[in-house]
Amino acid sequence: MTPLRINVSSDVPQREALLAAASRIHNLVVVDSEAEADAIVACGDLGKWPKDLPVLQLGELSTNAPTNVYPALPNRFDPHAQAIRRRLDAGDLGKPGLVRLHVWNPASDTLNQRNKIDAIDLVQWLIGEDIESSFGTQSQANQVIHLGFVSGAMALIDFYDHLPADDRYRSLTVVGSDGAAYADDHRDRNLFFASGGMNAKPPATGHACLGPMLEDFASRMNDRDDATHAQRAYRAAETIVKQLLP
Amino acid sequence: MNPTDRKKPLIRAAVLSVVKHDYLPRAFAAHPRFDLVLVTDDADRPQWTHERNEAFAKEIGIPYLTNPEQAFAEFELDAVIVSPEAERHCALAVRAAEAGLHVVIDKPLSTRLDECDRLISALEKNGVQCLVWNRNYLPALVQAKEALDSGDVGTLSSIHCDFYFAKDAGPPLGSMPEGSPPIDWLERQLEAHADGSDGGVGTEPMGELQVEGIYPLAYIHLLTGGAKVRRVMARTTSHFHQAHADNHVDDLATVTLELENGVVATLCIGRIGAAAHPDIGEIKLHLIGDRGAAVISEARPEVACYHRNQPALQFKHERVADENNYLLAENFALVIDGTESPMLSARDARDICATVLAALESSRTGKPAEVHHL
Repeated sequence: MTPLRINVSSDVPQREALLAAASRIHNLVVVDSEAEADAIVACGDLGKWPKDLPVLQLGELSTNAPTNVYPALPNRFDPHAQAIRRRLDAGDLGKPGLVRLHVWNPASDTLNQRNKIDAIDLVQWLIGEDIESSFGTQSQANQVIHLGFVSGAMALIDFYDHLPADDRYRSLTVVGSDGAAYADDHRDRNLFFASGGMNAKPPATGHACLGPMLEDFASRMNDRDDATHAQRAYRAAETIVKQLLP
Repeated sequence: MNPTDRKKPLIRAAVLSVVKHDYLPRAFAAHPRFDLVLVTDDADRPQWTHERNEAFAKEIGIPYLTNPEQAFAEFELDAVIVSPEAERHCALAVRAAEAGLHVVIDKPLSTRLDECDRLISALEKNGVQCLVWNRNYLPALVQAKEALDSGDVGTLSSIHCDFYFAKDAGPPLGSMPEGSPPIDWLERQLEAHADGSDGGVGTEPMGELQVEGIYPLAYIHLLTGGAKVRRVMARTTSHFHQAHADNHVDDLATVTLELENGVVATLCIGRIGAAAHPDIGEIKLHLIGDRGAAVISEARPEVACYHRNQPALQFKHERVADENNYLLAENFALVIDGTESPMLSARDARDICATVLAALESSRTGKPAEVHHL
């Protein structure tokens, strides 16, 4: 198989991490110019990119994005989410009935609209159905989204971005008819006692989604897949965010 | 809580039916301020109820009398411990209150607001106290409350609760042969008594929100300082168990609650099956205040034990230092002494019943529902 040649735009915030991830992927080669590339990884400014090249877009998807632009949907490639999805695909958990997701960031890393779209996309992707109903509410610093899915499945997501600096908390629970999976930073934390205090920190997995995300993109390019399905998932999540968290 | 005053006279208590949870009367049998005097229940109850009542009375070494009013009149009682089928909770408790007896009542208080209101009226008219069973003295809940009281988290603005009981409830949904008759609720609950998963015992089918919802909603009540729930949005379904589907009650629910003072809460609750967790279930609290946040596991502290030939259904993590039952009995003694308020009063539990009913209404209509308080 000929490796996919990608060009990583300079506007990508995690560019170094992305290049490092790409260097490990057998069927992917990073090239320096758009002219040499089969595809582009970019963050924003869609109009700038050649219309005939596929684009993996990490930033917000513009309203008139053509079908060569793939929204990145990075949360699907988080290692915890991947592990749960494998168990769902294997049938170990049965039919998903509930997804509970807590997304907490420090004040220094405010959750933006794209972060919230990605969170809703993750829930949709795990349940594998269309959203039937939605409800949102919030307290001072905490936004809540309550979703219902066509077959009766349900989800609760909450967003909070006032944790202390450098801290971060994620908790993802999927309850299926035959079992449940719990991916929770509460379980993942290790204890460090130093300087008269105690810290509980999870091992870093911040960029672990990038490699699988690029591999998936390369695979889609190889299969000549277009971005219709990914765009549809993105738009469904975007609609919820715009309706409930304006 | 101050320790029990052992110089005070013993509180003479009757067990007013023990067909559901014998851990209630056991808590009082073990507490030094209480003297369990007898077990009583109505003579016209089904045989299985008499068998359970008699078995408990025999084990404790106290009589079983099939005439509660006679027991109230002749045994110089101070209090009753009420744990019948859920649909009889309030009716039995009202009779005890009318006889001037203090009441400890199993959860849930009721599935009907008029029953709750009738009990509250009887309690207040007769000047007697009532404690509704709860889990608010579990060590992790005490820790959560202390964290809030210390000011470390600041003023609470959100609280998220997961309350999954990893228990089975008969055949999994869809596993019965085609054409099978619907599962009889009471028969299923009687079978479940052996492993203690019969919290909904009775003839009236009850969903998980109605059976267990009082526990996490009592956590929310405790940690918000008794803030009233104004509006709820909920979804419910029968996702796991044929018995729940056949009887049109939920075994999985999500609830968003809007409380007074701008506090928001959510609850995920389900009877998710024994395979879905190595222990009793994932039960957690996420607290957000204006100065900090906390993530609390209700199970802690616990000891992990794994061994050869371990029974499949034995919990792998054993909870330790759990004094909830003792402390509830202690709380009730102090309530009777007049020095404390009940950890969960009949009025509190009535508000929780109203919240559950609003959640079920919301699930039916697909719209938010107002909660009707007294």
